[in-house]
Amino acid sequence: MNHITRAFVPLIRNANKFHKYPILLSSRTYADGMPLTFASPSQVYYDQASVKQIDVPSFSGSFGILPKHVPCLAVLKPGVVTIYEEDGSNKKYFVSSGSISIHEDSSVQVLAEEAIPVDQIDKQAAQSGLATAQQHLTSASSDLERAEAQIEVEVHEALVKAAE
Amino acid sequence: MKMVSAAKYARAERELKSARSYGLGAQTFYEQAELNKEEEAEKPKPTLLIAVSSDRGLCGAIHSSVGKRIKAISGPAAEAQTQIICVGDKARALLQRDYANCITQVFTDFGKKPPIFQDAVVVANAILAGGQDFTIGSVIYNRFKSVVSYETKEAPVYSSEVVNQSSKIALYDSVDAEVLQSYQEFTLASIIYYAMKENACSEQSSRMTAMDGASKNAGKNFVQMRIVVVVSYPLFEAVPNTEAFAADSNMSTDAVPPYPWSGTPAEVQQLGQLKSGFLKRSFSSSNNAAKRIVVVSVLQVEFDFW
Repeated sequence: MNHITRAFVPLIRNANKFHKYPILLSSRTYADGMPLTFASPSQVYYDQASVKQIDVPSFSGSFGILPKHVPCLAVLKPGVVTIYEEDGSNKKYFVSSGSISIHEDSSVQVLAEEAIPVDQIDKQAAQSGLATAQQHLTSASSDLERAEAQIEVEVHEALVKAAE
Repeated sequence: MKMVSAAKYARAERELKSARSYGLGAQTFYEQAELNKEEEAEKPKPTLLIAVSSDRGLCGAIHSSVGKRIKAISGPAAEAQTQIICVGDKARALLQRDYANCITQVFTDFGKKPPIFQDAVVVANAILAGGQDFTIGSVIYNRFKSVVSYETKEAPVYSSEVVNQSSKIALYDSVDAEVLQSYQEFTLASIIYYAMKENACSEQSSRMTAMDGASKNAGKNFVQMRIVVVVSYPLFEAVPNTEAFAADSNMSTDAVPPYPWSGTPAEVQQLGQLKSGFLKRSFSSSNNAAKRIVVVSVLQVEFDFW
């Protein structure tokens, strides 16, 4: 919450100087920055919080998002999302899949099916998961099973890579 | 029951907090692409309705308000052109009489456990695989407002064609068919998940209120209680060996209750005191007939209401 308040400080100060009446501060009015919503179905990491930069892995290539990015839709690939906060620190999260949307007003939504902080990954569990996934792939008989096993392998490979 | 539903409600509300940010995020694209903002008058009617309810009742008008909204959108049953997908048995029960022809899919086994994303994925997959030909769809659910109120709402979903025709879509970079399709599929599941979470929370809060009312009513009617106690004897003894029983329990033959026996709480208490002495003795003695007598079991507690 801290950085949101900080982003508002100049706004509020100006408001006092130039307006006799307090202006309505909607959650969508951001001076710079970009309101990021980064969440998985069970957990919210950022809820319209202003951040500096977001690096996301997508099927059309990994890319970084800065404020005033061209509006865009993309599909998340298993990998690591890095979020650079206003104070310069960065946080890394592993995501399995999901969607990215960047809008005209610079707001960004990164919605992941699963998202966890990278430091919470159990490396050994990820490696044994990868081994099981590879077994599934070799034993897959139908096209659907093969595709599902392929996805499982991809996710686990990314998970192992993220844990390193 | 009130305590159980209060605990379930607390959990549902906790989980809703994160699901709400997620669900609102999922709907942002449709808002930003100005699909949701069309004029009321020229807005085409949704052709696919997804009714979010559950299998369980005793929660006020939660399910019926969803049913009513669907009836209002579909219009008279005879000329209804909508396709209805029921999530939860209650929605089907409400709609199957008039709208049986419209219902295309029903999902049951909702309501026992809190909904998870996988539940929404199952529904979304079935909609996509079922080849439901829709341009505009609507997910109908009860939005949780507070512990005493909810609001029946619609969350619109759109087909890729509608999205492509939007005036704002040109602004978006690198939107090819495959990206859009994947995005749409994931968004559909996300919106259904959000609606399920909202509805589950509204349902639990209403159930808590309903249970509270039920407990109060029961308290008023609770007048008399009669406990039926049965003294059971070994089956192979056709006539209860009351003498052996009495001899072993230090009771007179008259004090041994007939079979079966029932009494008021006060009488049960009296008998219980007698019996506890007998129990101790019968289990400490090694060889006598009374040991085979199975003592007292409370078979049934009867509540008389008037």
